[in-house]
Amino acid sequence: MNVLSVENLSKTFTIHSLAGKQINGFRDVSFKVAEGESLALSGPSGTGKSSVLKCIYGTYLASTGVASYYSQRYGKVDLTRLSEYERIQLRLDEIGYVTQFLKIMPRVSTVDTVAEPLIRKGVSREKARKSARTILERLNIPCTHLDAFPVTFSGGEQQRVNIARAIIGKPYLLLLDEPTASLDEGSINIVIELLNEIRTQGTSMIMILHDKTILSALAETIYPMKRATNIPN
Amino acid sequence: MKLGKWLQQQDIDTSCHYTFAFIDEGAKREIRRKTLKAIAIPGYQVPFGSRDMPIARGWGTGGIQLTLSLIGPDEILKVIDQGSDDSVNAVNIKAFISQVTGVRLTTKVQEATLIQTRHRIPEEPLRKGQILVLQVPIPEPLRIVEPSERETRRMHAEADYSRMWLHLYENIVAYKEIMIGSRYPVFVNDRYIMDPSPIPRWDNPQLHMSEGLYLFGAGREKRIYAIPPYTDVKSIEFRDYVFRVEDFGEATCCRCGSKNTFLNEMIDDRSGKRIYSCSDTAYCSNLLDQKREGYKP
Amino acid sequence: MIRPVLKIKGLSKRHGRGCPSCYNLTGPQHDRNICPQCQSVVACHNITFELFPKEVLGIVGESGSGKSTVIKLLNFDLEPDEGELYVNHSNSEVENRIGLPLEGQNLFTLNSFRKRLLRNFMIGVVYQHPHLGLRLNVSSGGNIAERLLMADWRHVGDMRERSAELLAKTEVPVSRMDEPPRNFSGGMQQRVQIAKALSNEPMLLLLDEVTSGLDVSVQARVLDLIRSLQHELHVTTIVVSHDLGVIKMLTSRTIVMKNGHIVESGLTDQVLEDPQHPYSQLLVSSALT
Repeated sequence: MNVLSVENLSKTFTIHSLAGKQINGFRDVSFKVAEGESLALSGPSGTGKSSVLKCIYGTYLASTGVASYYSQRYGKVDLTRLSEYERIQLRLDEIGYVTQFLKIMPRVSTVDTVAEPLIRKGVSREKARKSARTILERLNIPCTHLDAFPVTFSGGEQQRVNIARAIIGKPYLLLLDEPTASLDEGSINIVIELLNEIRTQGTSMIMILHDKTILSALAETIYPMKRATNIPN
Repeated sequence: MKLGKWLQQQDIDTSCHYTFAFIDEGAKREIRRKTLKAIAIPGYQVPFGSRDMPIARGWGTGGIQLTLSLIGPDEILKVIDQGSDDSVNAVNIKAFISQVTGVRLTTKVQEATLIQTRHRIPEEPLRKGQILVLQVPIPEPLRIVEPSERETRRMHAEADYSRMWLHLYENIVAYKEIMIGSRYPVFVNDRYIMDPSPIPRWDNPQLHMSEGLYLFGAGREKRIYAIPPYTDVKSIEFRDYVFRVEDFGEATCCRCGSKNTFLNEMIDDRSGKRIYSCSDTAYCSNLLDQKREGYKP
Repeated sequence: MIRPVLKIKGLSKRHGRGCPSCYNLTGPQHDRNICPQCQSVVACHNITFELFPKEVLGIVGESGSGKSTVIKLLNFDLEPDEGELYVNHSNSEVENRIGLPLEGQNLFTLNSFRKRLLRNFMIGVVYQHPHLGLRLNVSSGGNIAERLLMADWRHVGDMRERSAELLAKTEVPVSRMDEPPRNFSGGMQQRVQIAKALSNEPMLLLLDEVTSGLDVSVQARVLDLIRSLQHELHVTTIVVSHDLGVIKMLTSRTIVMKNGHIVESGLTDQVLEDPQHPYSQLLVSSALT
């Protein structure tokens, strides 16, 4: 059963301040992800791997192509043509996203940051914070850090908070952009363990990973990205 | 008696003297029409063309115009000022109206058909058929919160009285009670907030469900308003800070001994002590007479 | 599929005598609001958008974009020249008073008495300058009480209790409830405004540049407050700001306006990371962070 089916997806950026110059993000990307499968996008930097994830998530608007997603809430939808409201709902309920760059609200405690996705789904604040504590403990975030603000943490700690926040809601489809980039070996192993765990529980994943060992530990399928040739003017 | 017959009887050459009741018939018609409109919309201030009067603005010209427009030869008129029949304002107005109409004057409320008053309502409730005309300096109750006439008219039109309520709230916050002494605003017929003229709080309850008609005339501000008989009139209050009338404590009138009338406070010239007497002099005299005759109610 | 709680269609507002060419000769493509023919100012034109329940919508733009005009029109401070406003919301108290159901009516066509009622019961607004939203000489509790009085509360004790509750929620010391906001700092004045706006549990909250002009730390506190209130109360909110940081922090969807028109709309992260319209790209690239 496919969760996601991407066909001929492309992204081109138009820079109006440079007289409408067009820059290729990526072209003609097609792949499928089954339930519980983990797919890795591989390739050198500049091939548009992050852009693919962003197009699926909706941060970027795809230029052409289709991304058929078999949603639990809405049935089959095209992620490139969702209404704003539907996209917000899917992000809340079903699609998660982890990036290298911390996108966290300032002045919100770690526990509350991680608990938030559950609270927005309707879980009580108490239960959500409890689940948050559990998962943060698992990721070796010390108790002293729980009420502190993540902006004060090291890169590796921030990254673990990020991951915790993305997986706590057990998303149906999880997008991961270099999730282990700033982590030490011990943490990496924990993360691998966690990700494999949620995979067995039904989460499908698309990930971008550079490290080959981690790749082999996590990815079932690999989709190689080719550098897109620039569009002639 | 009808006006025409009276004019005939007077044997005067009407072309060179004043009309009956001083103002011309056209003016009377306008004022009566505006008065009817005011009665039809209780509490609403009706603008009118305030005429020239032989006394200055600020001395009751609004009240006088109302009285003169309504008065007929058979009326019996009482005029009081701060409750008294004998004070300067009352005496002068009575003299003027009597001169231009020849109507009978009285000090007894029970006898009067038309009563003009400045800043007090007689203690004795109005009977059916009686009219009380009040003199009004500032007809606009919202003036304390809003100086602009345009804006206050809009507030009345839209029943947007929150700023008046806010003013009362701030009073309570600062002083633990509503600090308005006279001109205490009333809510008329569940629609308009009205200024009852500078009558003391004591008199406000009389406006509610009265048998008689209350008319308010502001000559300088050029407004007429009315409370018809049997109208719902509530002094504005909060549920937990209700309207209260003045409390005179243990004081009694030094003339008639009354404990439940509105009292004026004075200093006795000889003893230097504080003494009180009824503001409504006619009522006071009545009580005194009853006492003397050993009247048993 | 949830229906939008608010729909605006074709909203336009023009200041001045106007002429048939006004709308054709102004707008982002002409880079101006002023009609060259008649010198009228087109504050906004053809604004159309929807609001979903409990969401926070951002409107971003620079001076002259028309974003504050949209707020004023929604709050019935101004009369639109054209436009329709529909809500998908019922409030039996309001509907009884105005004698009409709320749904299916173009609310801009109601008379001023009814609009006032709607505003008193259903809309809360917070302005950039406290003197626009507060009576600076009335006690801060009185400012909040005024809204309650407009909604026909008539018990002083109840009003004070509710005021105290709201002030506590907006982190204003309750001991200062009887002091006028004139004596407060800018940040605290804004928080009193927020308390006032929330007092009648509005269906729609409008925030117009509420932190512009405040010191950075003060701004942070006010924004955090707004965010936490949003989490707690889930009031449908429109946030107007020229500051992309504020938009990023508070909103899930954003509309970009220029010269009175909407040039782009979408999810906030998409508008900030993949802006499509030239003006949006300019705005995003000009931001300091």
